[in-house]
Amino acid sequence: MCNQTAGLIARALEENEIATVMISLLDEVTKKTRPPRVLSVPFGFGQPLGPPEEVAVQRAVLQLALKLASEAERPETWWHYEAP
Amino acid sequence: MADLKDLEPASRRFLERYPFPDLPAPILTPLSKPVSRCRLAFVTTAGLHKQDEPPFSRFFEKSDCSYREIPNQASMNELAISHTSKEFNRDGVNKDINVVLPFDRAEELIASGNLGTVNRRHFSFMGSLPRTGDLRKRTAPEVARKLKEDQVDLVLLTPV
Repeated sequence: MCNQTAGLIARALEENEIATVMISLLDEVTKKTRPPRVLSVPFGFGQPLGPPEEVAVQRAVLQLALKLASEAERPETWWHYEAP
Repeated sequence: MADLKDLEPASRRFLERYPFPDLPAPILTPLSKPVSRCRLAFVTTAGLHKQDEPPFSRFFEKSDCSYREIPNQASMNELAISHTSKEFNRDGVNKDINVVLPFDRAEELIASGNLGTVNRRHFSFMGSLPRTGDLRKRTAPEVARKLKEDQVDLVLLTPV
């Protein structure tokens, strides 16, 4: 249910004029809440930024999320992080 | 990428039958400034809270929509996790908080000039919510108002 919860919070923040990017771990559920900007990641539950102590991966995910924040032009923009 | 079939059978059946609401298209708030000048905050659904604070309810049916404030740069030595999900593997965040709240990664981006600043506080919800009315009508808008007061430009949401 976490992906639904995060999607609903994203919508509430955007309605208050705060830009958001949501990381999605379970796209089938995330899609139901229609968040405005989503970064889908291939990691397991509990690791939205990637595995522990994998600094390069975590940094790449965060950078991609920030890039999505500034480049998305339309609601429901989805990007996908692909592990190298 | 996680899939419904990766869940425990009971969890999978619950989600397959869950009456997701039919939501309208979302609003997209454009960033008003470059990311290099933005104030960033994190909102997670990992059920994190300070150790001296009340935990989230351990009863799934209660659908605890409350939230806790997490200070910037908090460490897992100061925090606890209370979450009803069986799928949430806590080992990662217990070993490295950046897995859920990427404090160190954000500081590195600030140091390199790619991010403005990080907010003094972040927020955690507990994401296993079978009923979301209180979240949608009260607690999520409350957090939105607090982040607006803090002049946060951008929020990264990290479900678990």
